[in-house]
Amino acid sequence: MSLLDAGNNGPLVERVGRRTFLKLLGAAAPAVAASACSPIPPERIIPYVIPPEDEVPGVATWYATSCRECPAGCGMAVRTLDGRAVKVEGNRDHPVNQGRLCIRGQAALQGLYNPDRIRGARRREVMNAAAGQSRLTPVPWEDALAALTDRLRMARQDGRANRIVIVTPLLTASLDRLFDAWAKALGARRLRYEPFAYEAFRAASRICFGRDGVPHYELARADVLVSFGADFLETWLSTVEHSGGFAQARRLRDGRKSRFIHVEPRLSLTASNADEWLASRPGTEILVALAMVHVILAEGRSQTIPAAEVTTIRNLVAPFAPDAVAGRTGIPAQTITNLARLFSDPQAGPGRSLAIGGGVAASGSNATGTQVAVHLLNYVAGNVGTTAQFGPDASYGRASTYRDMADLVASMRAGEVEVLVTYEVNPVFTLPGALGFDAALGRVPFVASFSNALDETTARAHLVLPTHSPLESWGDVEPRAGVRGLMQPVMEPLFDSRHVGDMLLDVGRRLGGDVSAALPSGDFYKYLGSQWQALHSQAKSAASFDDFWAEALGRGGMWSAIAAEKVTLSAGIAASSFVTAELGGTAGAPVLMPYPSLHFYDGRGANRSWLQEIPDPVTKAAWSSWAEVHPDTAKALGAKDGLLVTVESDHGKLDVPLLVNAHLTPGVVAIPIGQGHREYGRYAAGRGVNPIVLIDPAPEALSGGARWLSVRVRVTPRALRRPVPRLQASEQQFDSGVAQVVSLADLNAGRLEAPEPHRSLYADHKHPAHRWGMAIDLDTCTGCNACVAACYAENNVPVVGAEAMYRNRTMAWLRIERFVEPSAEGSGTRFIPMLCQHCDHAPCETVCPVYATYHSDEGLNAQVYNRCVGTRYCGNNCPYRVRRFNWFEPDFPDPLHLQLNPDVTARSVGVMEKCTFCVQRIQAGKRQAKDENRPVKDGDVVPACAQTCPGQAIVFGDLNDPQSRVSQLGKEARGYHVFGELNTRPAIMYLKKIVSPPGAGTNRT
Amino acid sequence: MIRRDDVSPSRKLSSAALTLFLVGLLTFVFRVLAQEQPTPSKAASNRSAPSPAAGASSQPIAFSHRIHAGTNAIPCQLCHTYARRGPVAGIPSVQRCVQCHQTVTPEEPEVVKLMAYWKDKKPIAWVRVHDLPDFVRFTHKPHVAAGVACQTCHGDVAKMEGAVQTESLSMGWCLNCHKERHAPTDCLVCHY
Repeated sequence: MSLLDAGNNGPLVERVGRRTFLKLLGAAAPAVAASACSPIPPERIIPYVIPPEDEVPGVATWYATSCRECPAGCGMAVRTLDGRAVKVEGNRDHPVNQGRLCIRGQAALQGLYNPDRIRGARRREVMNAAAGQSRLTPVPWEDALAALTDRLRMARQDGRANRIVIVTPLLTASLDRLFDAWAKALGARRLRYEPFAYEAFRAASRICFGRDGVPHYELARADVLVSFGADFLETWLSTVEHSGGFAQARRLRDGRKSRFIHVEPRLSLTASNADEWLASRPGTEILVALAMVHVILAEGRSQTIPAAEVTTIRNLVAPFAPDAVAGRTGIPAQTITNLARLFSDPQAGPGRSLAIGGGVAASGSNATGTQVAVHLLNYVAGNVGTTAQFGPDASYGRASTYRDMADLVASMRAGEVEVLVTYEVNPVFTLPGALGFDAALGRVPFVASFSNALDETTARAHLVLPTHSPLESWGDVEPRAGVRGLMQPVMEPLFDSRHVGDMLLDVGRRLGGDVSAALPSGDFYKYLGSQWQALHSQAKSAASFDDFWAEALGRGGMWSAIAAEKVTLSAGIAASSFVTAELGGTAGAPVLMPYPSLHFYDGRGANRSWLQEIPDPVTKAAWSSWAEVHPDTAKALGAKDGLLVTVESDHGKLDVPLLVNAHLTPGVVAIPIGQGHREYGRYAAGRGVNPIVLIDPAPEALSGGARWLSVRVRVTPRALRRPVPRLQASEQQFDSGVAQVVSLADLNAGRLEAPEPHRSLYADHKHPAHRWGMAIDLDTCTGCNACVAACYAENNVPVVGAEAMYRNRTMAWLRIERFVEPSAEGSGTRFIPMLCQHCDHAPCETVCPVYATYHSDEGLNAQVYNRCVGTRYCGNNCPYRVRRFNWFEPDFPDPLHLQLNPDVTARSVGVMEKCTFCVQRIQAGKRQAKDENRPVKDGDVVPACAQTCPGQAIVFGDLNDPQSRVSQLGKEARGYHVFGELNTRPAIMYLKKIVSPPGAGTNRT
Repeated sequence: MIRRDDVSPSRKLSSAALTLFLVGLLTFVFRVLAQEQPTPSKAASNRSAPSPAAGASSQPIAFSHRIHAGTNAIPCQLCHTYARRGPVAGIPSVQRCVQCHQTVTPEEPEVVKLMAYWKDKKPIAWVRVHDLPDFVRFTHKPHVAAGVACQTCHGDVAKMEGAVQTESLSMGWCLNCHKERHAPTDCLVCHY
């Protein structure tokens, strides 16, 4: 409805009169123009009434806490300035992530500052009972908590307490205990729901070793790593920890490096980092694992296991000789045999390799069988107890299974659930559509949701109780046995929310009687303290509790090494049977692979603009959903890239653009999970599709897990082009030599071309004090995007949105480029972080008419925003395409603007910007050194990207200091400059990726 | 998938409301035009001479630097405690003022105002006098450490009632001093 026909009484022009209207309109224009020039009111300084101790305005305070973006439980250090969190980094002392964070962890700030957070309690008010219309309306906290109390009391009074169900995510430590105590006091059922709960993994552990657990993996110790679909660089178990371990094993030492082979139908980010990617047919990974066991036993290469067990296992795998399975898996028998030999090298001894399984590829009807095969493979190679340790088990062992959720849906549908209490779970979105959670929710008379975002489940609730975000909350987490991380509020709550623990205790007290008596008194903070008092007495520490607590808070928690426990093979293993995955739908139709997204996990990250804006590392697509198919499949369908297709299974259907991807087994349709929200906020709602609606809701028989790989789908092209915005047009680098590789053999033999010496007509720059430089090791860069998110957070980089991305626009100062060049030399995928190269002979500097960009005497290519007039000559003359122009005034919707780093100028429209090597950190490092009256040390200055890199691929430092790590790396034979032939003399040295041909060993000497 | 945001339904404006709105705008134009000289923009006022709006009268409390720093010779950093520790010098908290004024001249009308703030535990919204543009990253600490007197940039505060800006605080003015003292003059020292 436009302004001109507003109102109920006919068009406005008619009512006001045309001439009057035009007069008014004419008068309005200069008025608006004048108001734009009106004086800005004077700025106010509002000092504290009572200043906090130890707080200096403008000086950062760091708090240690724990990341809650996924159950991995990484340690976090949060930088706060003047009472607000501006940056999160990994906690260096934490045993899980050792100072690193992934892209989701970096974006945790956008959960805190989510502009669509619920502000204040809401209750559903019926607007029109006949039409079934109702809406959530604000209600005072007192009424909201009384409403929940009344409902719970009603249910309990009539002896129907078992009709109360509480669904939380996988919680650990104190909050988990409190929820348990609360549920027990009420007599309610409780579920710990995680969409990715590793049920098959745990079932396999039970079958093989009689132990319901997810072992701890030491990737750093594995010389040979074989993954059957486990996307450990994306979402599998503990990604930051595994990325770190993987990089450590991969790093070249004495001419040797580890070897990683990935078996999966799709070239995922993890597969892209493999030395060899074996594209299997979906659901057949189990056969590869069994054939490897077969070879190891047949060739007598098994290690440290008794003869009786050898016989048992040999009988089990007898039908799975490599020749017998090659045809079904699509992987040649010889490849499998070689892989098995590499995996069980008798010279290396036991426990030097590791097999892992998981991800969507290992989540079919045979998921448990696949995990059993992987366990057996580790067992025969002597890896159980070394690289795969039971003892420091991951907390996943305690999650509810998907079958528990399916049972809940059945009881909801049967009207057996009277009160459903959810806490930060979104089953409407994450459960398969055909399971009918959405419809069953309608049969529940009262749904209360503790949540700070209006997700699909919360939007259906009768009562919404907004919770503090993790960064505003007290708490603790226990991601694996022996590690207890603490959470502390890093700032005052932004909005009218409460701690969920406080609400539970409050409601408990309101219920009175036995419930109140069964629950602890006081608030959650007091309860947390009592839990830690118990830990204090266990620790038998000499320190007082107050000292113990203060020390633990400062450190971020407490941790101790847990020894690996010895496990033995269960006799029941002999009864195992192994089959390939069963897939519903028409035989021969494409198989659906819905895969968890690196950015959104199970969809919980979808309302974070950084995660939407940063392109997916493999497809380079952003702000959308897509269906990946092999070119042959696309041809068979008669569809081209960018065409909208209808994907339909027996359980649901959706329309999604096609994205042709050559790195996929033909006959597979891969769709990322995480988009397709109906609710959840401005960045998520109505964007993309949710492939979970397509899958078969029946759980996997043995483990009760969700079967992500369960259906064949009908793909019908539609006559509509809907291309997805993609930030990199081609995966070819056309001999440009941007991302270079060297073979391990050449490197060890010293067969490397020496770079051409630089010649120049210009005089060289002088760098009297420092010369800042960077080294980026392409061999340990996994392309995980964590650095990109860190850069957005640190440098106030604005988000441009989907529309602008269609025009190939982005403001990212740092991007990951991906090239695929399969060759005889080995792995084809190359990732290269591309950022301002801070050239000594910078092409951008010479063309700036106003000296806005120039070379500083510390080797930085400076960009002075207040001098820039926006000619964009510099951007056009930059061969690296790393300069970004502000075509529009950046927008940081309230309260996202509170995240802006006050140490970095927020740029405005018409200004060019680019990577500064985090000059604010350089200045801070220099100032600190000066305060301490010492020279700047190596490691004093760490840019945001280098700080968070899970693979530690980025090293920054002073090239004038010959002892600095960056200077040392610069001497490596692998070093090269991108476009060195242009003689730009970049300050960034890339180290070539080391590749080795398929079938190569670890080059063990 | 391409999605354009739905055009949100515009609010139904009654003709009367629209007319009122436009008339309001017109009134505003006349008010602006009636001023003899256009008020300088914020950036310009920073670079040019002392801002006229900075006198004591415009402040919520007519605080006198002359009495504090002049007559009583209280050192600057007794109240502006953060200057040697961080980027901003800091305006004293209400608590800091009250610590003295509980006993010192509590009957003065301006001190009575102060006590009202303290009683309500409300902060005082002082008008900012020295305001650098947002693209300048000035920090007090190194300047104090280098022995630059407060008066160098802030003028002889001991003789002022309310603080007024005496120096231009322009980039050229900063650079002159940096050059004289051989302090760094690279753009990136202040602009990032």
